[in-house]
Amino acid sequence: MPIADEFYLMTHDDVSGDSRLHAKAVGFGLAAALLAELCLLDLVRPAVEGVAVRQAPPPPDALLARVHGQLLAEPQLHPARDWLAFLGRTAEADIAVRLTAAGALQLVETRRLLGVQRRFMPVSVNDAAWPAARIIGRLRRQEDLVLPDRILAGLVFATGLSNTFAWDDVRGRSLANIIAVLDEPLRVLIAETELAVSKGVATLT
Amino acid sequence: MSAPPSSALSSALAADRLGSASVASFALTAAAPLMVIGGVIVAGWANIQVIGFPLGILIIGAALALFTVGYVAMSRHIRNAGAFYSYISQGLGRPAGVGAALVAVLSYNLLQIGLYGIFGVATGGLLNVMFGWDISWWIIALVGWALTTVLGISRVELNSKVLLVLLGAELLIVLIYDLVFLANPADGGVSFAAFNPDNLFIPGALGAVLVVTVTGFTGFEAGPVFSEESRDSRRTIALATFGGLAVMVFVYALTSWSLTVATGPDNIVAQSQEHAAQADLIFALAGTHLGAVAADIGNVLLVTSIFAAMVSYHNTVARYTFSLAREGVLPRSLARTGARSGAPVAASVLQSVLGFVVIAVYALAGWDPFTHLFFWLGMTGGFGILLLLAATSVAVVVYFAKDKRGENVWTRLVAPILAAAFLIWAAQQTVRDYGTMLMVEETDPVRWILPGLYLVLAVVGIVWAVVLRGSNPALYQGIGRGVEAGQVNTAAAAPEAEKVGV
Repeated sequence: MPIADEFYLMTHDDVSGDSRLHAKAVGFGLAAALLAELCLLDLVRPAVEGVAVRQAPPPPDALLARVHGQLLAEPQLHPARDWLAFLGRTAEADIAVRLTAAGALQLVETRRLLGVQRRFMPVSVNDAAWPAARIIGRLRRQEDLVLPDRILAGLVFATGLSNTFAWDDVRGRSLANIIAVLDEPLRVLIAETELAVSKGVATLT
Repeated sequence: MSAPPSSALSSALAADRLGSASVASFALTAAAPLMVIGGVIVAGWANIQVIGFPLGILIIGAALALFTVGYVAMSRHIRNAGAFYSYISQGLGRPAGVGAALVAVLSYNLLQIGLYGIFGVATGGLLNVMFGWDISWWIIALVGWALTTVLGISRVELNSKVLLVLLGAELLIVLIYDLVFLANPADGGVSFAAFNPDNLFIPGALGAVLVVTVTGFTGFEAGPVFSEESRDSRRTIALATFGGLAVMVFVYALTSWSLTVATGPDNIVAQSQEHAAQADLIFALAGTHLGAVAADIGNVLLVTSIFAAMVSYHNTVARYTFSLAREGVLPRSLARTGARSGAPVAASVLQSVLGFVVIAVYALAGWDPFTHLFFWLGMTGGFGILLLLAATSVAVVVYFAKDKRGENVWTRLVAPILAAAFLIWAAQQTVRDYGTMLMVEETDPVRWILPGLYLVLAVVGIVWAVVLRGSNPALYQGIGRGVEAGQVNTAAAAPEAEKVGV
């Protein structure tokens, strides 16, 4: 399963599908996960001064192809935080659609007093809970994480989800440790995500 | 710094950014006009017994406009432009910055906690007038405290549109009152005595008037907080800050002057003393001309505006504390946030605990909520702001002395020097007149203890910064950069065993 899909499942309740994070943090985290997917395909390269994009045929996945196209369409380099803000505006809905197409989420409509409430709910609780369970298990057993899991663990700490999961008590684990062995572009991406989430806490809007 | 229009990213992000009016309205929320006149200035008349507050408002307004010239200019060149201590650490060095940070945390805390006193008194008075209930101030204060605490932890910001409507209603009713007061002068003639320098420049009282007035303007400095979120950081912030300041000067000066006209300049002190404890002088006067309903509407708006200011200051303190904790200047545990709410939970809880302790101590000791809680603590908070303003304008001068950064001589030199000279003089006058302001004897130790708290904190901050310089150079380098200083280091791979705070 792609990184952004797994991170979506981690950031949402495995039963109700409600977000476990503040709306802005979900956006930043999922935007970072999409950029990480492109990064692993060697299509983008986040750096402090800007997110560089490689001219290449679009990836097969429709959502990634669209994001890749958006990056290519920009006449100038933009810093990672701007891309996180820009992609974060729609990332949650975009990834929910991709997960629905993959059969992992379903759109449930509930009739309310005023209108109809539409929400994405996991099809299978076990499948939805799996990414978080897998990673915390490996962290607890002090096993090495595979690259996608290491990125996911980094994003969990960057978005503050580690508080919700009570991962902070895992000995010797911190964002800096988990991302230390990643390549610089991914480290920058995750550190920028953490900064964007924290700045969201410190500002009013 | 607008990017070419062909960029979908730039135009999408620009649409989310704030204009001048939004930024100014955030600043004005903290400076509720009815509360400033009905609470702060009326209490000033009652305690300091000087008529000339309207002239004091014009003088402070002019000084703050001069201050704003350099303040806004420097905000364009530094990161974390929202906080006085950033200016001070980047202008006067990091030790001074840490000292200023501690002073700022105490000031804003005192301003917030002082509001519980006037909230209890004003709401109690309103409930008495409307329903005949007689409820102790501290019960009401605790209800307000509980609401503030819940809103702070869950980060439910009061809806900005609701706040704007309330602010608009407040300004409208204040202007109506002003017209009525000016149309019905007490002695049969409209007197300008309130603007007569002889009624302000009174030895032993001038400093007290100045600090009370500065307290009324607190909140005007909020504009640069939004520089990263504003449409055009050069123009938006300057326009919002000067605009907000102009509205404050106009409304405060007009309203305080028309109050002296309504009572007659010679009676304003006696009338204020009579009504201060219920914070209802404006409404009592308005009621005699406009009827009870018009007075009650104003009274309700006073209560809502105090509440909005309480929540606003609470969130300001929490964010300030959070930024400092992330920087490592305060304990890192205070940087803990709520994942779901996106609120600075630990900092918010700390502020609430302080508020609860103060309310409890005042309730148990039976101290006066208006004079001893609202006025003493609130004005001491305002004195802290005055000190920060003075230090910041010196910091602006020093900062631009090292590098002009394309600013002209008026912006980087003349205006900030004039502002600094005035603000330092005002701070010195305040220290001299602290006893008058608190209405205590010159020999009463409280007259030195309250302003002395800042000296202690400034020294503690400077010493702490010097310790950090030796023990944690990386942290020391980040001082003044706020949230960004706490970013995880990505320059080189950290060894697996090293524990780096997140």
